[in-house]
Amino acid sequence: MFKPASTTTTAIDVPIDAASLAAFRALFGGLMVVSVARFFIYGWIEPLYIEPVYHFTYLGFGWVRPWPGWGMYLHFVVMGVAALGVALGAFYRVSAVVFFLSFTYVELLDKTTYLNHYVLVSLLALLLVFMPAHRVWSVDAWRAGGRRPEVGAWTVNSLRAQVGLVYLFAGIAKLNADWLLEAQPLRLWLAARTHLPGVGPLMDEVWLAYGMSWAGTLYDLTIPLWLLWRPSRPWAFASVVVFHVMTWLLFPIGIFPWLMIASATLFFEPEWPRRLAAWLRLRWPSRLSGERSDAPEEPIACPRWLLGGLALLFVLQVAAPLRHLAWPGSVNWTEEGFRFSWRVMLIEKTGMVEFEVNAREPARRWTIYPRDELTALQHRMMSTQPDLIHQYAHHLAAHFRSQGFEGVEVRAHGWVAYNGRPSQRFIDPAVDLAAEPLGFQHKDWILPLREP
Amino acid sequence: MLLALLPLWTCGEEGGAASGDLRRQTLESLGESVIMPMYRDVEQTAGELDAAAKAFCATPDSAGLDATRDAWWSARRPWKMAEVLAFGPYAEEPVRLGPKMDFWPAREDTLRGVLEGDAALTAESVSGLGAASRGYPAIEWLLYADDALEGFEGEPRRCEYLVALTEDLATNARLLREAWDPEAGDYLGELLRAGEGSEAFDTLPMAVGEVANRMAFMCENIRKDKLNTVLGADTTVIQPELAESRFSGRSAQDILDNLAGVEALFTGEYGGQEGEGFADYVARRGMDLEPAFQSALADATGALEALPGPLTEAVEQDPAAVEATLEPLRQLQRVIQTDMIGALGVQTSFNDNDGD
Repeated sequence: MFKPASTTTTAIDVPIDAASLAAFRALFGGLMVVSVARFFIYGWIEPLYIEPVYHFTYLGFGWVRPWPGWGMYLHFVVMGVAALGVALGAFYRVSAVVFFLSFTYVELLDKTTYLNHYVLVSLLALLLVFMPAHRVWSVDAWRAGGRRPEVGAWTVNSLRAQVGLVYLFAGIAKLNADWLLEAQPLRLWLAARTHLPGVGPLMDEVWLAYGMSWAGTLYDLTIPLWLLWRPSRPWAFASVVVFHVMTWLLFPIGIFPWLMIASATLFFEPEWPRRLAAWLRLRWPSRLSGERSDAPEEPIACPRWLLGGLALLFVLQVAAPLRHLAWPGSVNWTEEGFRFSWRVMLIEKTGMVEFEVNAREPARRWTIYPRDELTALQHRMMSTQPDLIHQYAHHLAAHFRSQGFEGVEVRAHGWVAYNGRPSQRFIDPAVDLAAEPLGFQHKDWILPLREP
Repeated sequence: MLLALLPLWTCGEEGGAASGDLRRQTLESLGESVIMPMYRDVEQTAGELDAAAKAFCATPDSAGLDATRDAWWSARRPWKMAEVLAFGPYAEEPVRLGPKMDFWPAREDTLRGVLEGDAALTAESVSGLGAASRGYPAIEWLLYADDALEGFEGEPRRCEYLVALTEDLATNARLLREAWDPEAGDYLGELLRAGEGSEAFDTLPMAVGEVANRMAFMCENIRKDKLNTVLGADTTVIQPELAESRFSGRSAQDILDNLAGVEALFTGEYGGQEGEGFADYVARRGMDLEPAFQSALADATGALEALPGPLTEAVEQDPAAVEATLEPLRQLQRVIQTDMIGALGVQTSFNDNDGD
């Protein structure tokens, strides 16, 4: 078994077995291949990226546009090939860069396709770009005739920190009255699954919703610690598998559960894949594994510039989930500071929004039904998210100004039912949203939540 | 707790025993108490219209014309109520019967072209014509034309066209009922077996969502296509010629019937037959939407009934009264689209590509 070559450097630069990192690379890349394949299998590329005539782009990223024609399909093919390259460790650095850029590009195309776990994918892909995750068990190592099976501890520790942050903030976000005292929105979601065979009748039980709410909170807040602590690790990992498989069975949340199960392996001892292989009595020629303990030494330490970059990345990730504190009101209601904050599975909203456009010169008035221009997904997402409504109001104003109208004002009539409450207006219908600047300032035209 | 649930998961959605989901029971009840009776009424009244038209054309007279007009008016009631179910056989190929039975606004030039042509006018030949030349609006155009009786008496081809149209309509009404009927096409079965072998609906929430969303669409379509367009809200030009049923003056009644169809799905009650609707399901989930729904519905119907005369005249004489119908209709849509659909759990905020 591999023995660390030295422990004289900092904890960050301690050499560790490269096996764990390589295993994660293969699992992550493999899942991404599956993820890309699902876009083709389920036919999502057309409706999500090609069909929309309008895109809800991120502030400052309006220049990110879908490729024309078959470009988006080709883009996903390239992404899939890059993911395979990551999984196999083939032309690894190029593959990792291409995958990170191509995946993140797609995520930047439209806010209505935002997913927390896609943000996590982008962040993990970014981290992997800078890590020698192909040092063993990779096509690259095999082509090089074998490499020393060691990497710096900073690699696995950075990935652990990344995953740990997700769990931590997901747990903190669950510390609210709706989740803990009302078991919402789980009560709504579980009740919507009573058609499932076998467990269906249970889904209507209130105790189940409460149990899952509290268990989920405790799980998110503590699971990284249980995974790190060797005595509790087997049970912790078993709970990871059970928890995420349950969520996969109950809710259509794609590859997220499998990504989190794969990520949990990062908390194991770095040599866990070797132990597993030994337990399974798996053997393969060292030539095939790309390992050679007598290979030339390679850099272990984390370059200082990279260390600085990682520190900055994590500081930003601590700040992002807390930024909602800068604005008044409940973030779950206003959604100011909701994205990029690991606020996972916290809200259930159904909404309806229409726009009233008035032009001063020539004097005209229109009622805009967003269904006419937006896709079903865009329409559904926008109908509950104030910043998207704001953005669309600006789009409408620009459209009518381009038609030669002056003094264009856009008002929204929007109602939303939130976590089981009766619907209520959530946008001030008196405010001209076209005159409200797009940006991060507080949106005081979001009406406060009224409790029934 | 979670571990205890896992062994219960012995099979996927397909192949499971019929589940006890109350939403499926609601759909079953709606199928039995509302949908099938409604389509049977569409078929029956279309048949009665055909019989009335044939009797009238055998010896055209004023009484016969009145009787045929009455039959047309009565046939519109179940048809307009069923418009909320504008999916499946109504809208989808290969049958796509909706447009064949009710293409509107009627195109007078097209209809006049058929009438003034020299092609034989039979049910068979009419069935080969485009949607704009057939269905309820074409029949209405003939029945409610100026000096209609003189026209029928002096121009035999009018009666040939009328009878061909009513026969074609009766055939299509039968086809539509059969398409839904469990004894024939069984589209109702597709709805009820959602997630359990249905080809049209992979999951139960999809099926429930289809019906529930149609109720909201109906309200939006009324406001947008049946009122705002005629009102000229977006064009500044009042357009009575774009009104539905403009020849007979039934435009507002068509809308009231549309709303009655929405109400039937909500309450589960139709034609004196009581069943379970979405209101019952929502009430079992601890939410009482009945007051909000009925209040919005009463406001909307009240505003429509208060219109001074037919819609085509009201938009000219009292556009404010027409405008006043829009907000209550929007509130009705809000109750359906936010509260009811939210309580039904058919539009959860995440889907397969929407994780969390």
